[in-house]
This record gives sequence, structure tokens and C-alpha cells, in this order.
Amino acid sequence: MIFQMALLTFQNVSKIYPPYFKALININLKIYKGDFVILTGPTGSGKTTLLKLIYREEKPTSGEIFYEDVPYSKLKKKELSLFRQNLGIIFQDYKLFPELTVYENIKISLVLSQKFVKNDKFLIYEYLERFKLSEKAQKKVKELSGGEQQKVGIIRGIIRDPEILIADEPTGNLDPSSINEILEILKDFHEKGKTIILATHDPIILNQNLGKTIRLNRGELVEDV
Amino acid sequence: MFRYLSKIEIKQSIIYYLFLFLFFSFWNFFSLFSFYFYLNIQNTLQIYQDRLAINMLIFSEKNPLNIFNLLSEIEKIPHVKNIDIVSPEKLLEKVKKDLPSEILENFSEEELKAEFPYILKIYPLSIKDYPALKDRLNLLTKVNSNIQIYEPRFFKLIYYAYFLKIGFVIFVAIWIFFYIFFLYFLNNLLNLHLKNQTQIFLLLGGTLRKFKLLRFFFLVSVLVLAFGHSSSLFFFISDTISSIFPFFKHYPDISKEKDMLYFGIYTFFTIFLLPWLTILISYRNYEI
Repeated sequence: MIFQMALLTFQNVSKIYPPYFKALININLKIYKGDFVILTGPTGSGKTTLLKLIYREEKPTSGEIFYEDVPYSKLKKKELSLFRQNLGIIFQDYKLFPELTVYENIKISLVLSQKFVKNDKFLIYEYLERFKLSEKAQKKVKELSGGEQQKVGIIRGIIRDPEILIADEPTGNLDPSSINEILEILKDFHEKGKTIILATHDPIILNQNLGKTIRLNRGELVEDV
Repeated sequence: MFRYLSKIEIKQSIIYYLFLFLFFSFWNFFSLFSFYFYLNIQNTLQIYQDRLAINMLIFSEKNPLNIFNLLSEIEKIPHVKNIDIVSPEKLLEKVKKDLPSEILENFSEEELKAEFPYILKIYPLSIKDYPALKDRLNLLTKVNSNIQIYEPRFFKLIYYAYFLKIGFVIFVAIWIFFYIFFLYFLNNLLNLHLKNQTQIFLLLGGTLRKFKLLRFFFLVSVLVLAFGHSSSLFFFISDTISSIFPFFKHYPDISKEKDMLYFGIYTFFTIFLLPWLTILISYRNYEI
């Protein structure tokens, strides 16, 4: 039997938002390299909070999260930044730079990932073409519709070819054909051995049986399949 | 990367930078002028202080030995720097040309000398010693009616101007604090305004270092422009004042190394060091 070290480990993690809203209660969880984790549960169950803890937008109130065997709390600023450079994050609220163009928003992500790309302009336009956004490349993000902004957010997350892709409700504003397009991309990603953590309650995705499903309810882990 | 971050910073914060330009133009202009006036006042005071003496007039004293004894007594007073003696002969010689010709015709030189007092010009250690010295000397006038004391004209004005030095130090401290507070306030305002963008940048793997450097670059650029603008205006106006009132010296004097050193320190602190420190402090809680 080969011992595999968990990529991410949650050890008795709780998150309480002041004064007393318990967003997550005593979560114990292991995510391995190459896992396709579907995080599901009703609205307010703690999915987004759990993702925020992974990319360290929030810190746990108690407990510890480990990246491989390194506790998050021991990560220095520089190490945290390097860790984030290896993440692809698709935010529920897109988190784009409204003053920058579509092209610039994607380019920033690529530059920050510090990965060598021979022809980044070509790569960006290839993704934009795939998502039918190439004509809007030079438009400011704030001039796009919600669905288009979401697509830009998705491209920004996946173009840097991250080790871990974290997606928070990535299909919320998309039409069924775009959802299928994204699912194809996610499957390709997974086949390349990448780790995907996806929070959703979209039935189209849930019915696909893509991987390990984790169900949360009122901050508690109720099912880990 | 800096190009994109600059775009974010400038597009959203141009109005704040414009405000900084106006504020610093005013602040720097006022600071330079305060120093200009203060140093000129101190300079004038210094010239006057060296000539400032309490004149003690001793009438009807024929015996120089008594004057010598009095002199020894006065020299023991701790506030005394030195004493000059003007004898009736010297005094007569000095004022002879101003005396009406009738007096000179009707009185002999000996008679005139007998009417003239000995004058002791008593110099205090500094202006602040002046009142205490005057009190001590006044005691002598009470025991001897032949002794009178005269203080220089405008003494009160000079005396209070001396204390401007302490007031100026307090003013400078408050004025610098006001500038630091403004820079800190402005940085906080900019940080708050750009908080979302900063957080996105950090979550994508960026560091605050780039934001700090960029902010420093923008602040310094605006400050240099405002400094150039307000300093030129100051030099033009101070030149005009100095040409009208020649006793008003140029500060800073470009030909003097010491002046240029102080001016350089002032520039370094206001344009580079304080902005950088306030940037560092204002970003303390923005790390996620």
C-alpha cells in the first residue's frame, strides 16, 4: 500500500464570524492531489467560507489547515503568496478589476502566476475565443454583462494552469451550453492530474458524478462520499 | 504588472492626488516662508542682542574709586556678561557737536563735565537675563539717588521676540505632525478606496510590496511637482522681499553649504522619508 500525503488537511477547523455566527463547525477533511471535490449544500451552509479558508481570505477561529504537511499559520507572507500563485480561483462574485479591460484582467493573473508562457497574448485570445469573448477583449470589465464577467473570471482562474483549481459557484450566471463548456474544461483539467475543489448546488453539475462529494449543512460536514 | 496597477491606482485615485498636490504646495510654501521669517527675525535679534545693554547713569560722582567699587559689585551679579565705562570726558566729547553753541560759549569744559554722569553700559549674558539683571540694578538706584537706570528703546518687543524661538519649535513640531497626519490620512483613504482591488491582487498571488512601491512612486511624483511649484513661488517672493528690505537675508542661501545641507534634509524628510513611513504604517492591516 502506497502512503499518499494529503494535499490539504482540515483539522478540527471552526470559523465563527463575530459576534457568534458559526459558519463552520469542527471540520475534519482531507483532500488529495488529483481529487475532484464537489462541495455542496444549501445556501449559507458554509461552502464559500470553507473555500475562503483554503485560499486564506479568512483565517479559522480554531483548528488548523495544512498544505501538504505545512500548517497555514506557519506560512510566511512570501510563502503564502507563492502558494496562491499555484491556485486558480474562480470567485462567486467574480472579483475582477473593473477599471481594466478583459485582456488586462486575464494578463494580470498570468503574470502573477509566474509561469513561463511563450506567447501569452496568443494564449489569452485562444481562451477568449473559446468563451466567445475575443471581440470584447479590449472592453472594460465593468461594461460586460454578469455572465460575461463570470466567463472572464473563469478564464482568469484556469489560464494559469494551477495545481489546485478552486471554483465557487462558477456556473451561477451561465446558460446551459456555457455550463457544459466549463464542465468539459474542468474534466480536462482533472484528467491532467490537477486538483479541483468546486462549490456548487447546480443540479447539472451534481448529476455528473464528477468525483468526491462533500455535503455541508449549517456549517457541519454531514456527508463525505 | 506596474502598468496595470498604475492604471487601477490612477483611475480611481486621481482626485486624491490632486488634493495632495494642492495641500503640499500650500504646506511647503508656508513652511519655507515660516523658516525665512523666523531666521531673519532671529538674525536681526542677534545683531541687536550684542548691542543691548542697560545704561546705568551715575551723577555727581567725582571719585573714580567709588565708581570702581560699584563696578566690582555689579560684576559679581551672575547675569552680567561685561561692562563698558563711559567717562564724563568721553561723553562730552561724543555729544559736543550736538550741544547748542550758547552752552559751549557760557560754560567751561570743566563745568560741563561736572554735569555729565559716568555711564556704565552693562551687558546681560542673554536677553532672557535682562529682567533679572534690571531688578538687581534697580536695588542700587533705591539706595543711591544719584544712580539712574535706562533700558533700551523697544526692549519689550525684542524681549518677547526672543521667546519666539520656543514658540517656533512648538509650531514646527505641530506643523510636521500635521503633515504626517495628513499623509497617513491620505494613504488610509487611498487604501480604503482600493481595498477590493488590493485584496484581489493578493488572492491572485501578488504581494503588497508592489502596491507600496507604486504608491511611493505616485506620492513622490506628486510631491516633487508640488515642491517645485511652491518652492519656485517662495524663492520669487522672498527674492522680492529681500530686494525691498536688504536686511532680510536669503534663506536658504544657495552659496552656503550649511543652508543647502539643511534644505536637503528638509527635502529628503518631506518628500521621501515621511511618505514612505506613512505608506508602511497605513498598509499594516491590509495583509490577508
